[in-house]
Amino acid sequence: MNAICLRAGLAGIVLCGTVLATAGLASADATDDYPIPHRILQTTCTVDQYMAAVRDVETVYYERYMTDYKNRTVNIQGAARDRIYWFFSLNYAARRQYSEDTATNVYYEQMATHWGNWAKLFFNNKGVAAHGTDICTNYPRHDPSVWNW
Amino acid sequence: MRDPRAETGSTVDRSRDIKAIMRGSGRALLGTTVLVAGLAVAWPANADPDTDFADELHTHGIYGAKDYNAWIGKIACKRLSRGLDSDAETSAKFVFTQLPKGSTTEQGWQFLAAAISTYCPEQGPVLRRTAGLR
Repeated sequence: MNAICLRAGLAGIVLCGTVLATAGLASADATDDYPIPHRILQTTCTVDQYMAAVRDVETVYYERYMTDYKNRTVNIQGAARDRIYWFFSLNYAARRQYSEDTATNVYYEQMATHWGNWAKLFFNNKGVAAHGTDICTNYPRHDPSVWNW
Repeated sequence: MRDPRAETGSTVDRSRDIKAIMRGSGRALLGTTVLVAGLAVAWPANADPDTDFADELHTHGIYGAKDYNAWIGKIACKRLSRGLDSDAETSAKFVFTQLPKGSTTEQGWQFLAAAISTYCPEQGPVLRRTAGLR
């Protein structure tokens, strides 16, 4: 193959270059823990439960996230809320696929172009995710007041 | 900055302490603490209340990152004013879970009293009600 490529003209270079370039692509760029923590992929808690738990147990992290949230416009706030409720509505396989998609395509998640830290409370810190999911079942499943802080 | 939440170990000891807060022994400690805090002379005032707060915590043997403890104090006030913590015991329980492992219930109450006097003195009645004082 290389010998043919060396002898080929311009068209051959393009073809050979494409074939050689595709040979080394990774088959998976996300793991079960990155960019989305395993606890978040697996949890059956709702968004409200998780946020209420983090409010109690990772209180400064929650406070900083809510400060950032309140600095967004109303449109962006609503879009972020919708998007994270959508993510939590997925099963494990779909969440894992989403993780893969965001790892391999930096433009995949449109929300991130409007507010880079839109999911920081949920995806960014494995420790926060672990502490929150440890106790999230103790909180009410539906409690939109977690967004009003 | 050391994260006081970094240790994930057993929660048995802390739950006993948390229960103590909810029982009479916790309240008795609170009564003493509130009285002492109420009678304390004014601290040398700095321009920065966070520094005053940190200094007061140090007298109770509570150390840690200054901005972290200031955050907890302010958030405790916010939780009281929002009604998320309905009374002083719930608030003390919240504060206690933010302190480093090995902290005592007395320190939890002292933290709360210091936070209220520094950041939200208008919540003072919440403490006094719990201590049975008027």
